[in-house]
Amino acid sequence: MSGPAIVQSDRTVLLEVAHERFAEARETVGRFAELEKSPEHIHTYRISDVSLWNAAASGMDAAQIVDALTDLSRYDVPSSVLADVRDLCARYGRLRLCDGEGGLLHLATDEPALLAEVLRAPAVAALIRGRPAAGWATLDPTARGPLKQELIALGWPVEDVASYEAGAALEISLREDLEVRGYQRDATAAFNESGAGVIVLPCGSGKTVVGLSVIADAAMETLIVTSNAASVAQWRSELLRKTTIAPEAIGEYTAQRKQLRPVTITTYQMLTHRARRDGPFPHLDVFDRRDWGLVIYDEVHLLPAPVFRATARIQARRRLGLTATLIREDRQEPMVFTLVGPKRYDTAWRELEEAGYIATAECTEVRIPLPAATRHAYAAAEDRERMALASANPAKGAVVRTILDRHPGAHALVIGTAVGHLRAVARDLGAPLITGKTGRPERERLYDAFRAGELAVLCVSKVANFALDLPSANLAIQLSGSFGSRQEEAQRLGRLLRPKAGDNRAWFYSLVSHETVEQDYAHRRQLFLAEQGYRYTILAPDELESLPRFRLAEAA
Amino acid sequence: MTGKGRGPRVGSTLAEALDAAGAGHRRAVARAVGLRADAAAEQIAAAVMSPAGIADRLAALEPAALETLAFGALTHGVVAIDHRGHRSGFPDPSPTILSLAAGGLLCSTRTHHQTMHQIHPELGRPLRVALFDKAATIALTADLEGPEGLRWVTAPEQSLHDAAALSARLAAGGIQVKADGELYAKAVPKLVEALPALGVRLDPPASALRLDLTLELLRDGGFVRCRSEDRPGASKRQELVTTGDLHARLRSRDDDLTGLVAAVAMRRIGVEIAWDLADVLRQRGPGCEMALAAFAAGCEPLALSVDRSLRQLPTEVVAQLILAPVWLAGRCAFGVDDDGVISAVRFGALEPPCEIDPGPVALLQSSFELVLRRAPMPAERLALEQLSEGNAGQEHVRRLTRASVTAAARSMRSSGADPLRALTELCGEVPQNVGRTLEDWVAAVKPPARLRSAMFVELPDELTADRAAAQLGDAVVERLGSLRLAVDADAIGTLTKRLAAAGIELEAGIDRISGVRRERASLVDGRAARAWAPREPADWDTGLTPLNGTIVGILGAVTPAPEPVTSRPSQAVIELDLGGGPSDFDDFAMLFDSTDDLEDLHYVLEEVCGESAPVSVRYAAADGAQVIELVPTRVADGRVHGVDARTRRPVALWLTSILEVAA
Repeated sequence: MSGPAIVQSDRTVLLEVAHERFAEARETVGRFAELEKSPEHIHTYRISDVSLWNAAASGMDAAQIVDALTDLSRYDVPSSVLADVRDLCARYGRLRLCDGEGGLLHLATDEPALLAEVLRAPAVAALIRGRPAAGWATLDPTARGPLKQELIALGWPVEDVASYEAGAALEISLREDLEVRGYQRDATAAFNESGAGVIVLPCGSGKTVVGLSVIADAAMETLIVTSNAASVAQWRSELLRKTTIAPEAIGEYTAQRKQLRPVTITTYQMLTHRARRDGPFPHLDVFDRRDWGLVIYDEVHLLPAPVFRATARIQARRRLGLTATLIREDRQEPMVFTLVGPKRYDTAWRELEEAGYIATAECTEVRIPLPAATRHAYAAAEDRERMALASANPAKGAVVRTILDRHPGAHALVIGTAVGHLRAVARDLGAPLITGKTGRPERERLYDAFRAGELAVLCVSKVANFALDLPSANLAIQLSGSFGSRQEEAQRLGRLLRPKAGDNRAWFYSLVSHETVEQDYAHRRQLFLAEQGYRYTILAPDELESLPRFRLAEAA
Repeated sequence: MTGKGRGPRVGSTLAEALDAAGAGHRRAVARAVGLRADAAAEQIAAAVMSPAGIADRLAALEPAALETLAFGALTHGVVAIDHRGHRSGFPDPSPTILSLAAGGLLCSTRTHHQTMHQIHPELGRPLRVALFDKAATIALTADLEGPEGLRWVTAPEQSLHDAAALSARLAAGGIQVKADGELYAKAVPKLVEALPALGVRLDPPASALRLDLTLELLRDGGFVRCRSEDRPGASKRQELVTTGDLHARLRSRDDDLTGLVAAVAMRRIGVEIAWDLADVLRQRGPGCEMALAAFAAGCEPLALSVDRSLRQLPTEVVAQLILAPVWLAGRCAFGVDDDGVISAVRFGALEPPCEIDPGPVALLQSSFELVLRRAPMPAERLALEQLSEGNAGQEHVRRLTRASVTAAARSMRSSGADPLRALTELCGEVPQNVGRTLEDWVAAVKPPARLRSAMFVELPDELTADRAAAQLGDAVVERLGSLRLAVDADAIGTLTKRLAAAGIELEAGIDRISGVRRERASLVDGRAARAWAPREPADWDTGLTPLNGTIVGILGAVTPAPEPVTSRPSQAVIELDLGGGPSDFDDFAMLFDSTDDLEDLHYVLEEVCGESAPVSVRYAAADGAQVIELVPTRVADGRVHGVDARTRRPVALWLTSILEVAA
């Protein structure tokens, strides 16, 4: 055994964590491949077309990549991979997108034949204005995004050296007492190098700070699009607490307020709201109603289709995507990379955990048998009814109490998708419940009470899945979930990952009905976290009794 | 279609055969090998078989005679068959045959309608050794060096790896076969896809060969069987499924399995050439390696003597064609360039399969991913492929899924293996969440429900049931609970008497609680099941055809006939399994005899119907057994229809009247 890497012919690179050259290999491979999974023993990187072009854009050439792979690899590197690296790297930079006259753009190349080849594609030809000259063609700035998309689809990446719109200036800087962590600085720098791209950081690791740093560095008017009203409030609060921006410069474009100010925060729901199902989207023009120099897509994995289209139109503006879980069950991740920009920074969750930047989370799945009566109903039920029966397993309530009993003093979130069952459990626990029907003031009141430590247990439906900052939460009990959603599982765990006082620990319990479809869905849900290195312990309810008691009052 | 030996063979040694051939013949051979004409048969046989004598005689042969002899020595021993003409009787042997017979290299046997010239089985081995020595000398002196900087690729135990991979594929889901057991064309790519990738580019590609070899290996090792769906109203689907405990056999690395690999490979015409030539070359010196072209130069004359169609192929392709099974059996290494193209072969010391325990083959992560740390051994490959799923392009990563573990649990159930234990053996450590989940998945795999049909006696109480069971003895086939005894439906008379004798009253009539189902003969014919039944070890024997018939001497008084009269047997004839030992029918190619069942006869006749060739049929007629030369055209209504080869009249014979059929 020699090198730490195994290169497979599907262009994945496996790195063995325990190998003495792991750190060196991670550093090297990370320059031309994307981290895909980071479980306990082997991390998986993928050499994609885009990652190779990004490497080429950063000055790395094919020979360096080939040498690195050959040096690090334990076995012969598949010749097809080496050929792909050489071929793909050679494609980068042969087409350039640069500024033309009168605000137009030029698609330019030193190889007229190549230009002729790409212009043969009808989708590309449709974006070109007038007759192409030998070696260059003209296009409207609005065609910048669609052209890049089409050229990538053809396998010809374009080196975009056209300038971004300056955007209106903004008076803003980070507060001097704000401590920006090393990885947050690195992520900001990685974004600033290009002006468009996605930063992937774990929940609770301070993605908002990265966003604020980027705004401060750009000093341009900014549109922030996020997932829900609670998150709008959090962005506003963070802007005020961590930057020097004047309060009157921050606007909210929501159902309640339609403010368009130098920094405006809105939601995906707001932008895609329309009166009729087949009607126009009246709020999508927010993208054009001010001279935005920067657009931030918070929780960019949620980007809905209409916003994709709007984003394609604003390719001349700087675009930052922020997410912890760039996984979409609709497999549209490549679209995000194409329109918002490629992944610029990523880090393994466990590394930040080891460094103490996020809490150490222990994940446990408790497999709870259905009571006899429910078991019979389940056996006789249609497939579509089974998930509902399993989710609402009446025996889960007692397990919730046992878990709370094992964690005295915990600040616990009880999270569920089956609202009826969640309500019953909340009633049983005497804990307040937040669902979609809970008004915004009441939600804020309960969240504030929980943050302040006045509430020990808060029951929440899936309204609390994303972008909700509850730093005091150190225990989450998942009663039920949306089938096999890996993203939901990760985001729910993410509610606990803000660093904690004391020993910086948190506990995540997922309650699953034993021998039901819910168990299969749970297996799928946990996949993303398992790939990030989280190990679930699986217990039966009676095994919970043997767990040590975690006294958390002091820590909380 | 093995021959049925029913008595001592005539001429089972070369000396006996010479004796039986008559004095004239024996004297001619004695003179040809440099002995006195009156030398004893034993002396002549010893001289014929001496290595120096064989080498001298090979050197003296004309090219045509050498090719004829090589053909016989490397196939089944038969070099020519002369058929009796309708009026002219047997033709005289050709000069080539006579020259070979004169050197003691051929024996001739006669039945009522043909004379067969063949190499005596006792002479086969020394003759081959001499032929291979000659070929090895050509190869070694060809002075063709392989290119520099080659990568040497061995395939230690590749056949066993292929067997493991294919077995895992069949365990995941059976493959449907035709009524005669042949694979459907659409199934072939699926199975080929399951075979592990090779590190060389064989020309022609070896996928079809590997599939054939592997399926034969699984069949003859008893690791695959043909399962029929014979329920009333069902589709009569027949499919290949796994059986036996291949994993245990692979793990124990037993010699029988290795022997079976060799035996299966050796069934390919021409492979024996490469195999034995490889042995000879290996003995010539350690690390014996040569350009593929040099090997081709040595083996080509022998290969072409066996299969003339090979003349149409480039020499090096011929070499690869016949070396492929040898390489797959791990007996040579190929030297390949960066593109995997083969240009050299090595017969010397090859890396033996790893004998020491090299640690777990894979790392298991809590994400249910298995990452391979080294190349698996065949038993490990089988377990890995049964338990987990691979993805195209991911040679080192596999994933445990519910479907794969469930299929493995079903497949392992018959051998009593446990998926979790197998996984622990592969990986050493199993993460807690994976272990628990696997336990749940395996626990959810229940034995299938079974549709059974039984005739049972229902007794009034347990004591009476015990007494009845004791009284009925072997008429009871299974006890169904405490009060019911499943009984042999054919033994109702005995049962009634025994119960009466025990004083147990039996109510009149039969209570048919499931209604009545008429048991008919199975609509699924037995051809597929027979095709996939393991061959008897005797079939693995690749020796020459034993003498069969009356030994005749052809030297002395005969006048050599012109060359064209003696026909070289066609490939089809040679590929028939030439049965050994005398039969009642006195023929060498017995296709059916009365010890086979009617299904065999049906099958045999359907096979020959398509060939428009006569077969000899002995059948029971009103005035005793008769023989007819019949050209069968179809089998229908319990009869075989055809044309009498002598009278050209249409004939139909009841199948039940047929005693024997011979080619």
